[in-house]
Amino acid sequence: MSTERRTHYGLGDIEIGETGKKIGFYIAISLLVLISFFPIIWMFITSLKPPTEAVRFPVTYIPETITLQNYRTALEQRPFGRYLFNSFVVASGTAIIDVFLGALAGYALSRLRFRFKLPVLLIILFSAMLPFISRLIPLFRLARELMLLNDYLGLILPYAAFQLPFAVWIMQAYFKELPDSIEEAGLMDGLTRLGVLFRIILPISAPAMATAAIIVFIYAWNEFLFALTFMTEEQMKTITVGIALYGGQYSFPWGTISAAVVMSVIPLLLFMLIFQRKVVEGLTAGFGKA
Amino acid sequence: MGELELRNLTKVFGGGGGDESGDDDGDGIVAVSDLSIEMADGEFLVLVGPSGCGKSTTLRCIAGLEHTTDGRISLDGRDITDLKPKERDMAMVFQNYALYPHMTVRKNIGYGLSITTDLSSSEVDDRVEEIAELLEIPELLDKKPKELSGGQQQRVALGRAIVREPEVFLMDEPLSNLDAKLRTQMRTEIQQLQADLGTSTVYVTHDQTEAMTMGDRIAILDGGELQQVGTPLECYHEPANAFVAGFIGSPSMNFLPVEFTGDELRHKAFSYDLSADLQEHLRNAPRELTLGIRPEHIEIAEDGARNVVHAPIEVIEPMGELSYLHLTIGGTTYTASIDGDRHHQVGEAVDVLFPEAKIHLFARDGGEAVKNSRDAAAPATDESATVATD
Repeated sequence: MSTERRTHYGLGDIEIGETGKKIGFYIAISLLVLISFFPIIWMFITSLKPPTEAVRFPVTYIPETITLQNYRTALEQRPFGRYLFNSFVVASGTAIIDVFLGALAGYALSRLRFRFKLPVLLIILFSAMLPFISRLIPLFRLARELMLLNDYLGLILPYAAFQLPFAVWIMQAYFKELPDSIEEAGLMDGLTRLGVLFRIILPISAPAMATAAIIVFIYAWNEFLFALTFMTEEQMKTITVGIALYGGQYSFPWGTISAAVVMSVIPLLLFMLIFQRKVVEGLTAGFGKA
Repeated sequence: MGELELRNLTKVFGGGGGDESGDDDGDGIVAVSDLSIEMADGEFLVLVGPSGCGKSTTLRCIAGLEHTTDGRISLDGRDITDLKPKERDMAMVFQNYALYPHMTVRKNIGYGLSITTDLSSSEVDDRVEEIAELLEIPELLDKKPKELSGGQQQRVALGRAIVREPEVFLMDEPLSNLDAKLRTQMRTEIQQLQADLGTSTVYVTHDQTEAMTMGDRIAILDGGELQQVGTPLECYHEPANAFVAGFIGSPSMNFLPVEFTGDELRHKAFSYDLSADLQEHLRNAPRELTLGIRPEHIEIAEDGARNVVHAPIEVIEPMGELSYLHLTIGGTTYTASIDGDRHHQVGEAVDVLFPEAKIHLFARDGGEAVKNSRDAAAPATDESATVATD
């Protein structure tokens, strides 16, 4: 009897211990999420407040009056849809170019045999470390000469160039992990090197492509300085620049800006969700039991 | 037809000879050196040797996945040395199966066919189904590789090779990822399949049992150099050198350093009188020799027998039908394989004898065989051999 009892208490202790661990884990996770999401939550709350409440001190954490006026103003005051579209074109174009070129360069660097491979990789990485601002003026002059100001390509090309090193590194690191034999099987089956890359390697590299695409897309979506300098026409401005223009010389409509920011974040969140699922899918499972 | 010939094949890594894949590790590593092998149509040739002996590199050179540094490879008299893998009419089965994870089994098997031939998709499909029937995997056709077990993946990999009806199958340790039971089963199946199809096959393994049981002939490599090519029994009974003798056969052959004095072999623990025939055979043999005796050829001497070595038992490994005795002779441990019904104790000393017909002798310097168990000069019985313990 006593043994049974002790066992019972023992099990109870284990259960409590396990539950406690789980609760602790979720509290910790929730805290982390709260901290990183606080700016977004705060913007969302602010976007629902009337202008007078938004700047009131002490601040109200829960709006006394909830209004959608800020959203209406944001959409009416400026061509918000157009800004979003521009950002989408620029960010998508950048992501497509970088994933494509990153895959080609990454494949060559991870698989083909040539001299000075490591120095090439290091130079690629080093190029990403050059001060961002130092490239602005020369590139502005270049874009002006090539008539690329107020043109999507004017932003897509420099963005793609800045982010290509990351794409190359992500892709080559992923390709290195793939077993050689899968490519060799493709070669034996009658494919060329490029055939192997496009028909075998890329289809199973969705996780790497998604990761590269997410990083590049977010960068291009959030970039401000080049977008401000290169796109001067109202119809060509991207969302980051557009939001900054809601502020006037003497006024700063926090509610409207917050509403615009919230609306600009939604496509990004959707994009993340779609690609994240791709990453988790783990298409590489099933390479055999090596 | 699938007559394959390798002539003076040499492969050096990092010595300027580029290859199709991989990083360039190290400088001038000779992976395969001056290898020449001829293979008849329909033959099952096994390349065997320890890790790093060059067997996989040889196979990859035959496949076209590595460029040769020197030498020629020809198939049915056609020089294929510089052809691309797809132009060689060969199919390969890889160690880790290398199935395409994003394709179904049906697509995996038929992929090569749809690329290299102009068959319609329904014809490819018919062929794939035929092969699936042959390999008894029709129910797997619409599954993805990750849903299959190791054995099933192996069958798909075989199917992918068979479906193209190549002149030569190349198999790179295809069974080494399977568990012991499945390996034995697949071994038989591959043998049957190869015999039915009659396709020339080059099979690489490091497992000497696989080599012995599967190959029509086996080629033993070490350090990139060919040691011997022959039927499994030739390599077992007439090893060209001490390396082959030690590699083929399980447990490995015992090697005892001896000194040849003209009429006897002298070991620090015993001396071994030679028959007149063997003395004559060894007339020009070097003084420093290695005596080789396979564990299964060591016999327990009956009472009063003349040819005995007195050896204490260190460890006994009962295997059922057989028992392995680890015996100490002259401070070194050797293995004897005896009838499993015999009872012995650890620490007990037994009298064993090495029948003269079964002993091998190798030059200590270089390792070449100077006497093998099947040599005609060696007497058929061991009556004339005398072993006396010190």
